Amino acid sequence: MASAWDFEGLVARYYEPLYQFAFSLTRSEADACDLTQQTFYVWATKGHQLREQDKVKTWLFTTLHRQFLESRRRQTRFPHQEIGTADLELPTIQPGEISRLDTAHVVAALGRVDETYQAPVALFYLQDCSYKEIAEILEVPMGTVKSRISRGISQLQKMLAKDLPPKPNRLES
Amino acid sequence: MTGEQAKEILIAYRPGVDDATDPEVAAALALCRTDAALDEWFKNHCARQNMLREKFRGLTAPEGLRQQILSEFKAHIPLPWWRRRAVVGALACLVIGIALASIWQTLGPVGGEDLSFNGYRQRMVRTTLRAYGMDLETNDVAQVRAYLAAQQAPADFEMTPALAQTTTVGCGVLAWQGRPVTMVCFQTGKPLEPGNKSDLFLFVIAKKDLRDVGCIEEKQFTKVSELATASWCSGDKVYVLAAFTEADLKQRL
Repeated sequence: MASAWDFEGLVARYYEPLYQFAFSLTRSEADACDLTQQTFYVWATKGHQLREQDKVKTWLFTTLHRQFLESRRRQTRFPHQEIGTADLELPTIQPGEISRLDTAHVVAALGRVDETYQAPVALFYLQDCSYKEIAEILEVPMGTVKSRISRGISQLQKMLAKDLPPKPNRLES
Repeated sequence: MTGEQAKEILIAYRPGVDDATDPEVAAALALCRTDAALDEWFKNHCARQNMLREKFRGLTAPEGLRQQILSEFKAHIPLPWWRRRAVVGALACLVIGIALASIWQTLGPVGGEDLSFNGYRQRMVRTTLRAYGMDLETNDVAQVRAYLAAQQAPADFEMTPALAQTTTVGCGVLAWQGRPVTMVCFQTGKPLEPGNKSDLFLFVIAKKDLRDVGCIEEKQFTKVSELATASWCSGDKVYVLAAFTEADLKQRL
């Protein structure tokens, strides 16, 4: 069992980023809270078995992601996909237009991105995890992570571009 | 490198986070310095990415979540022995120590995962079925070995004569408890399911990176999920070969 002191320190450090990741996946406050709590419960009961202490962050995120997958009972095989130029074309969105959107809108847009890409994109934006860390958390090869992030970013920006309100027409005098 | 190729590389590049010395990234960034249009695109892309990062980080956990986690911990997890003076004596310490050592030795689950050889084999198969992807696609075994060696993954693996005759299509590096696992992908020659590029997988890990494998003298045949597997030790490595049918598997041994 993890000691109480360690546990409190760990919760203080990671509960917010874990919640953010969980919310990005579930888009439900209640589900995100449940996933975050369950992750720490697993840590409290089994975390002492982790041999490499510098892997705590990866361990927690991996555990949360596994529980999410388990909760969705997803056993779908995701085929390997090549990066194609056409699929990676980004829409023309100005940074200022994104700034007009709120967090809820962006997370909702992520929810419309292919499920395969949601977790890597969330980790990419939320945690500044390296590709190696993301690969470890999601338990997929590094090449797959890069491919999924590129495609996910592209899809997310296309979703956001669709959601943007039309630019007001300039009135001609 | 063309501007479009540079964009493909830079879409997922985060200045200050990702490695700018990666040869592909470095080449793409160098092109930005000489191509004004590309440079303009990249600056806009970075600005968009920063905005999106801010939006995601705007998510805040509900008030009370942290306290709730700590309360659950206190309610369900007993206090450690050094805080239960009335209950714990030297004998209890000894019992706990022995129990923990026993669990450690017998490879109890970490994070709900079985750390035994069986757990390793299941994870490799599950990962392949759920998230199959190759880091390198090539029919050249020498290139596969060179790539794996560069990734510090087992590269000097042995192949049975039948396996050596099977078409290699690429490889990837997986991880088991932070240690590298080689995945070599083959094609048996049968029609593949749409989207798949391989139907035969060889996993290789250093024996020292597994806790309880000992040495599998005879090949072990086990069905894991929808794959048939054969496992064996040779030299300082442990091999798992997985295929969709037992016949495909046995033909390669």
